[in-house]
Amino acid sequence: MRFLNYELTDRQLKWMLVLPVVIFLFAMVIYPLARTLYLSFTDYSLISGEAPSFIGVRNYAEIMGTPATWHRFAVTIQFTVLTVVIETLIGFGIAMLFNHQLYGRKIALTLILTPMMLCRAVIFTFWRYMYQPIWGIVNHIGGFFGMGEVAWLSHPGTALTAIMITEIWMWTPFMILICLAGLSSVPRRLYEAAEVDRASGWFKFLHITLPIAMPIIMIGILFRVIDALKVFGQVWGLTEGGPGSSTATATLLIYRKAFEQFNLGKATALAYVLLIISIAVSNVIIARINKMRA
Amino acid sequence: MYKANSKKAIVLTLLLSLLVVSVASFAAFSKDERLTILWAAWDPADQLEQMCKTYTEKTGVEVTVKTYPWDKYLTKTSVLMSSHTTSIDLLIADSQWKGWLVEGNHVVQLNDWIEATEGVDMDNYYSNLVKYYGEYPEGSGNYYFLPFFGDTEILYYRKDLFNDPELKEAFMDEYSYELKPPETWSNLRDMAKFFKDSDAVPYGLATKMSRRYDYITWDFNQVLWAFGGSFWNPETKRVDGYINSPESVEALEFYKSLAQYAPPGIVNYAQDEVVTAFQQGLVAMSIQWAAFAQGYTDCSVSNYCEEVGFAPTPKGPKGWYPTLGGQGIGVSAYTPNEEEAFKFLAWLCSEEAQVLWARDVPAGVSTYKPVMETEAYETYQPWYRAQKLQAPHMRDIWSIPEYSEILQVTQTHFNNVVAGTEDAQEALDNIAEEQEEILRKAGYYD
Amino acid sequence: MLKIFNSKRILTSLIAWLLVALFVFPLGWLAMTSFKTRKDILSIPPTFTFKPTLQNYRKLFFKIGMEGEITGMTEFFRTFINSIIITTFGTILTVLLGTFAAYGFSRFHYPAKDDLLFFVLATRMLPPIAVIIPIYLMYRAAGLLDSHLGMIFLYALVNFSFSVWIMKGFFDEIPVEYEYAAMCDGYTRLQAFIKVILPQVYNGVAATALICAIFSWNEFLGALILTSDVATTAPVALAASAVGTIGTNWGVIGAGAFIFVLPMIIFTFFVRDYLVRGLTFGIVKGE
Repeated sequence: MRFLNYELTDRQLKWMLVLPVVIFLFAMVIYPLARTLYLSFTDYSLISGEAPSFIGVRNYAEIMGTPATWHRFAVTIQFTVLTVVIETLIGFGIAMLFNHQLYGRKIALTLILTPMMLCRAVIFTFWRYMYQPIWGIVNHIGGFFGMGEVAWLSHPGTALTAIMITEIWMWTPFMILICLAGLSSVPRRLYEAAEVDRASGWFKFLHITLPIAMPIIMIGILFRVIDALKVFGQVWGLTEGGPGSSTATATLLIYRKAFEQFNLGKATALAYVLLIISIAVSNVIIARINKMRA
Repeated sequence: MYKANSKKAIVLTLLLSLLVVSVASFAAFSKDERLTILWAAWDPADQLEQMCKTYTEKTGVEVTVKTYPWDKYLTKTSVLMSSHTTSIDLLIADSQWKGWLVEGNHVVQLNDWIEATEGVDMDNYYSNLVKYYGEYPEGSGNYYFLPFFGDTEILYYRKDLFNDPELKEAFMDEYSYELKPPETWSNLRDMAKFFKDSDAVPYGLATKMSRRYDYITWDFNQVLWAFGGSFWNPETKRVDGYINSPESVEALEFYKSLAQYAPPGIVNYAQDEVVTAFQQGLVAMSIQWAAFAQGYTDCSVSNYCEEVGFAPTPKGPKGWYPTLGGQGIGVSAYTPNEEEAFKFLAWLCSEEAQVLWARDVPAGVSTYKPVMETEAYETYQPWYRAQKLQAPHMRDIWSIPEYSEILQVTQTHFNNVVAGTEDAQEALDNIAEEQEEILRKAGYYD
Repeated sequence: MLKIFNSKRILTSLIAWLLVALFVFPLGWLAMTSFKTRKDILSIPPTFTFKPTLQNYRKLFFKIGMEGEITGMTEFFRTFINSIIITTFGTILTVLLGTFAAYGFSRFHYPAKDDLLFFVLATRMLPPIAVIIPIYLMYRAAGLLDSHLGMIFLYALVNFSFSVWIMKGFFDEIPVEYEYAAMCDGYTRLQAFIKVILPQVYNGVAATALICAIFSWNEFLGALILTSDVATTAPVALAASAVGTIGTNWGVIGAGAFIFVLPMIIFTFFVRDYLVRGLTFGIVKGE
């Protein structure tokens, strides 16, 4: 590799490393972000063929003033908190398990990662089939464990639970991967040094494993939170927000406003409210990560 | 050095393959003598494309039916039309889309062409179908679509159960009238209860009560109208006093009472579940679109393929208004081939093509009077008799641009009622309030 | 000692494989469904024993005429190839540039660095639905609509946030002393990065590559809106095959989803060594 021999100053190197990504993102994102921000202050309709007309903060005011919208956000946040917490706990536990010697460890790992590899366009439809009360496999297997016939997607309480189960099934592998990567980044010599001091397993875990793995795991959590707040496919495929509107999430509302009601003004305003929530939550998590690093 | 060379070779190969595939794909899709029809992805679209091979043989113009997944069809079409795409010549659209398609000037008005073209005449279609599929605003005489896919919901029933002498006797004893395809909605309910209570079949009836898409509203509307209820006043666009009238409440409460004779999970039943329930022998009757008839009669998928009976949907105390589904066909305002598109449309409206559509295309549902009124029509498929009886009475709603928002309101609340989380009067009052709010904001009350 | 070691291994293996079975079950059910006839798929109750058939795969790859004859190929195969190309290039682009950028962010100081990093993260926060229309307009103006390059860029756009942040997390774990030690040995900064630091984060690179690949592979909405013929990816073709007049085509969905997941499983299998650090981890040169 000839280029490695070039004498690059730190200054040249640092910009060469970062500029491609930053310029690319700016170029791709600046117009969409600016345009959607502008649209959120208009009453633009996609299919009317008319130009957007400025209406000030009316979209935002309507969002703030509609309880139904807040309900959507509440469902979204409840969904996010519950799924991410459970995914992290289970994911971490499984990662710890996989960090040991196992028979067929690598095959097992490959297999346990498969849920997040399945095509989202159809897998949620398939889950709807699995949740069907009469010919679905979930109730059938549940029957073996004494569970009664549950019409999962027909009742508000169970519908949200069903969606969360599907989400957890799909994304725990992500957390497993992240946690494994985090656990693997702990240098062996630290454990060896601790063993010389005759430290207990618990001590090693608390004072070596966790502190070093946590920042990476937190980044995993950060991304899960950002993605969970945007949840759409799961809800759309399983219930489309039903029964009634008990499982409707924020992004579902954005989709309906944008592509069924063609009200891009409202849709983009909603998207920005969601963005603000994401930013707020992310900042909290990032602050935590930085504190860990200090 | 070897390593560097082989790495370069790999990178080069990858880049080359990228280039090749891009160019090849692009070449394959360049447009010349070819018409593109836009439709949703399902069997009728595939079968239409095959049927159009006849047209290609005649004229040499290739006809492709470009399809997108059903639940995203509106999304993709709105993006395509709003960006003035030149890749679509004709589109097959739900009657509800008339509003936004016409007001956005995305489709060509057909009046002049209809007058100028021999063989194309709006009298070839039932007047209600013309109004609902083709006219916007309704009653104005401005035509933008031709009726094409005249789907309507019919009653499917288990012939073996309805003809069973023991069951017939038991039913007569209990209800004092004959067990045959129900003529009224209350008959339907009686029979649903009867079958559920009997040992012959687990449940009485399957119908679409799902909150998704437009399922429950389109399933319930025929019941609403049969009881004398209505959604709104189409002229004034007022909802209060119509959707929550005493007749409407009665209709909704009746509809909800059907759920107890249906399989568990009925609150979520859409096309697939209703068809499956019959295929697997769970129910004695189902109300379902004629387009899905093959799901009932195809022996490779249906356990009761030999026992399927077809009947018109029941009537109510105040009338009979079968529900209107299906689509009309129109010409895109942005097509680069308007002349060819109209020539094709003229062929599609000809008796020759319509006979093909009715006779040879199993999933086709006709709207063409000259073919439907021949004696041969009912022999083409066993469900055509019921469909033909219903065609002149089909009724539709809401073709204004705001239909989607209005639909979400009824979807939510109707579904709440059958799920038991809202009571009928309350739900209908809520619908009136929410819909009027939407219509007021859209400027209809000024 | 050996005995205890073995039984512990057996126990943890048992638990691990039980969990694997739990997570893999839907995929197994999907695979089974792909070989069943519709009557078996929807049988009441569901059945694990059935007579296997290839009809779903036939329907997946070939268009079937009204008399049951094969009239041509469906879009599935062509879009499958598109998916492979777009995902391969997209992932390479994302991982390469993202890792470099992450290293830069980890080691150097930039003006408004935290804001810059947050901006990179924020590109992921807007729901695609909200931005897809402006992106559509942008692509139309740039001629990127319905092109492989356009889709590669789109996926890179969303994946950069992840690759930069995760790789930065890994780089932050490695003390700067490693580079200084290497540079004292005569390496330039760049050489130190590539020859000394990079090998230590192969876990991160493998995990990032896998996750970015999976995301691009399965993405649906962007492919639906931004492509129509040339660059359509398999998820769109698969979703289009779902609705049939006999009901939802569960068998075809199963077949398509199953075939579609195989390349990802193969990819994971190839990088499996890099996903978990070996238990006999070597010590870095210079220690």
